[in-house]
Amino acid sequence: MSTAQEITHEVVAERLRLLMAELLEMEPADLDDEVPLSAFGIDSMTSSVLVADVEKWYGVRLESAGSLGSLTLTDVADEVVAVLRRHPEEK
Amino acid sequence: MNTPTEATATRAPAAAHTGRDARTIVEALTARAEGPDAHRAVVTALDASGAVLESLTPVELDRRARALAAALRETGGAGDRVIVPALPGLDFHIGFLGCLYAGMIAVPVPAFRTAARAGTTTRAERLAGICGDCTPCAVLVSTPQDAEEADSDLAPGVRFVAVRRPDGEARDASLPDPLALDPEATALLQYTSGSTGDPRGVVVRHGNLVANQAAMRDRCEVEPTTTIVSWLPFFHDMGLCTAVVLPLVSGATTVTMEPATFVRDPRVWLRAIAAEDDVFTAAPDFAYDICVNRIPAEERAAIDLSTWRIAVNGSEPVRAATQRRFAEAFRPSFFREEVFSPGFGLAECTLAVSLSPSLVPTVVGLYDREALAEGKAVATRVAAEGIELVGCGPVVDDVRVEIVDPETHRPLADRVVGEIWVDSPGNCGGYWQREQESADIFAARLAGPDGATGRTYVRTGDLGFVDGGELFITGRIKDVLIIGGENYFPQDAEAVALDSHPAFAQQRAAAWPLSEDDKGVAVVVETTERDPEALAAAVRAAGIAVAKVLPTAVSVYAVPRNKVPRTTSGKIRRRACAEQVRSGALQPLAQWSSRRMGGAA
Repeated sequence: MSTAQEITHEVVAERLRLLMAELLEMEPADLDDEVPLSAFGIDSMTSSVLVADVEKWYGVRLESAGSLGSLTLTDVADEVVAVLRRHPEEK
Repeated sequence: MNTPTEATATRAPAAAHTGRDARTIVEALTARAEGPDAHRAVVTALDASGAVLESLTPVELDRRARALAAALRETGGAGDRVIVPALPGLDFHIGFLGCLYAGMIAVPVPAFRTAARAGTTTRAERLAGICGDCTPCAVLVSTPQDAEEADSDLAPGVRFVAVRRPDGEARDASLPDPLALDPEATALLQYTSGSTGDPRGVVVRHGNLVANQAAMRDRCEVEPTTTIVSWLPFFHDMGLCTAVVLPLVSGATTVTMEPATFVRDPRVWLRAIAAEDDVFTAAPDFAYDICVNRIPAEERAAIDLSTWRIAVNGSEPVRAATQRRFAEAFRPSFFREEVFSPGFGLAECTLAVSLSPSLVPTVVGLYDREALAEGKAVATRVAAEGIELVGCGPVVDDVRVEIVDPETHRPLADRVVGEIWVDSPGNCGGYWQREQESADIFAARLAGPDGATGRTYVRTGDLGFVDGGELFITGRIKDVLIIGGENYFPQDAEAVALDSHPAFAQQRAAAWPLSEDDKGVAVVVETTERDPEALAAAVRAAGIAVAKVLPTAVSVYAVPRNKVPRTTSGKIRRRACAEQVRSGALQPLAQWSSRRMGGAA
């Protein structure tokens, strides 16, 4: 692989935290890993924005596109990592 | 350019060739395709940057709808249901009208991915629920390729039909079907419930659509020179009515964009408004907050909103503070606060029930909080004792509203709070194949001498009062939390909060927003625990548990035993409880919130 940095759960989670903090106008540190994203204000519409951002960064299309709100930051990071492992060529 | 006086003075008389006299929207489109506006765009879709993606004239829209209708008639007959997802670009317009031309019943639903992929999603479950309820013969997709790649497990036994037909397919001279020209025929099923297990489709007839949106047109003075600029989802009653039906009954044109475009960059919506001469929009209250929050002050002056004549504010509770904040923020853009037109409506009545007229200042009343809790609307001048309520206008033409005692079904006087009952040509035919529930909700009769008129009403389940001819909304009959336009029961949140931590087991809880302006929910839980660490863990656990069942911002407050207010019969008084926390009368032992307020680091 030519990427300088290996795609780990932690790397993905931190990138997502920054993306989401920007989208929600929150401090990254206030995004509790275990709280469903809807509690921070992610609804079905902002979900689609986040899905597009994830696709742009990782080339990964999330399965749970319509309902990211019910997932936690950890869940989304897990899904991104899982899809990347399944389809390494998409990276 | 469009001053209020000009807009009123230039009002043109209704003309048959624009479709304004049509009895169905199919008749309106065919009339327009043969009239002087036949080659002027009727609908235009913008992409995520605001550039034109596609534009169709009445002639082109009519031709494409006919072609799709001909293809649909090969999969089913008149009266069969067809799922119409919120397809991109102008595919929804073509798809929806194609169903109607075929005499079929359109069932608008949110967009979903049709290509075969593992994993179920909430939307797929919701779709399955709707398919189970209305047994469609077809699901629309955009292109023939989409139809080929569609996952047949999504809707077993149902054909996928492409909206875009190849040129040169045979024309069917029998179209539009006679049902498409019959006001009594069913045009669509509007599914209202967000819960997947309990889909309820409102049966909307052609006559309902035309009557309701003609009333909207007349209240808002929507003319052939008006442009409707919309980002609302098409599967939503307000999006469908204002972006698809209203232009056809008024002769106006529509510019649409995807909801995600607006959320990602609300400037695209405002620039599209600035680009037209006389603009009508409809959006829920939160849209105006998004604009203020996401468009920096220094960019606002560059957008000229002086052509924005009417901004319908509806489908969510209307907040005076939101309108003031938006008007203040966009004053440099020449936005005038009287452009806001708050309204009240519901899918069971097609859409509009009441609406403030165009370019008239919003009526805002300050009503005594305690009197209101007892069902009386008493004006006050003391801000601290009052609740600010926004008037949702007088009823639109041909609509009658009664405020009714929900127990005795007797009508109530002005300034008394009761259930809002509606008699309107927009009142729909009931819920699809649910006779008993339909009779209860859609054919209610007043008790006593007033019931002798034979008039039937839709029971809205909303509470409100009338003051000076203006309709005010105060809440719901049953305690219901409305989140993102969907209904949730506070009991569910309370139950999961109690189950989330041993400190809350077997206790009492009350879930309700802290104030009318608060979009999140506060859960107040009683406890005997006093250890600060245990309490901190408990409120966080409860917050996470509640956030899993309610898609909104959550706060949790732990309070001592017997502090959650109750009625004499032991029922929890949720509003009173939230009010006590808000005012500081009820001091929490510990609290947790998913969103930190005030931006403190």
